Amino acid sequence: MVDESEIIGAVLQGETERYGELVSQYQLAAWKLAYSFVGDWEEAKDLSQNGFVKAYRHLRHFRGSSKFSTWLYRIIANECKDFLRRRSRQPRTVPLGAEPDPEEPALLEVADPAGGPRESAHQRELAGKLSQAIERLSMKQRSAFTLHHLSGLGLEEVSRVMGCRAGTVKTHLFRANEKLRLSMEPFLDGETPR
Amino acid sequence: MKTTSWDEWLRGWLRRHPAGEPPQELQREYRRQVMDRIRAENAPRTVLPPIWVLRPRPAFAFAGALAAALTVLLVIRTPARVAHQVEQESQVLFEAGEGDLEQELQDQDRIVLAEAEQET
Repeated sequence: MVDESEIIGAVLQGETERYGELVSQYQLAAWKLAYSFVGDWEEAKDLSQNGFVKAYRHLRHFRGSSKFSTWLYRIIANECKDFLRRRSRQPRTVPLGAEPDPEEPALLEVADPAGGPRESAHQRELAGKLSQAIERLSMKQRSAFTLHHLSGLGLEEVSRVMGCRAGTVKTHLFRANEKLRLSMEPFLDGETPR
Repeated sequence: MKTTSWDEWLRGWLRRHPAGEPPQELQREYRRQVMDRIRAENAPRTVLPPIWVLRPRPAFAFAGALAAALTVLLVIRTPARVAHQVEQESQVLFEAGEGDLEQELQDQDRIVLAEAEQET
């Protein structure tokens, strides 16, 4: 187990190369976290790397009251939210009501199902609709949903990353769930919970 | 679909279809790229500091001051010298012209006087 505080102390004393140990420790989790926001591995790599560099720049201000990973995830989540806001402001040329481009990165991936090509196509369609529904959530609801359901963080850690109380996270999650349920209902008629 | 069953369905679906892993070829370069950026942040700056921070050596400072003084002298002196030279040359030319004219007049006078003496 890596002793974070010892590494951080060494980096602050000038042993810059030791920061690489923290990068190795958290790169996959950080990358997946960014991916759960933006749905594109290349983009997620850039955003999470920006997060690592920003964390390094401000390492002196890291008080150590939370885990380094929590602080890092918070920086990366903010990077991702900024990126999504910028992207949403960019004009799109896709006409209203058009089908999503299959080449465009989707937030959710479908693992190869055992049910054959028909089941695979159905699951891909569900993944596409669910991705779109998640993208329509408010930023706070989306952050709570993404961090909890897609990145697998516990409620307490989500609240620390988002900078709010655990009760508030629960509210965001409840509202996000409701919106997603209403959005997905037309596509799930007859589908039984498995 | 009721909320409870929806919640279960959603959790189940996300469990069955977890987000995959990033491509291996991207994973290998991740740490190196981050560390390259961090090393670049620590690299000494190549921007030159202000001149007063550089503290130039006395010999260089003296040579610079001398060159500046000579340039100033040359710039101030040259027009005056050129004007003086032009004036001197025009004076010489003027004087030379006058001399020739006087000689010509004297020669002319001598010829006229000689002709008059012959006539008388």
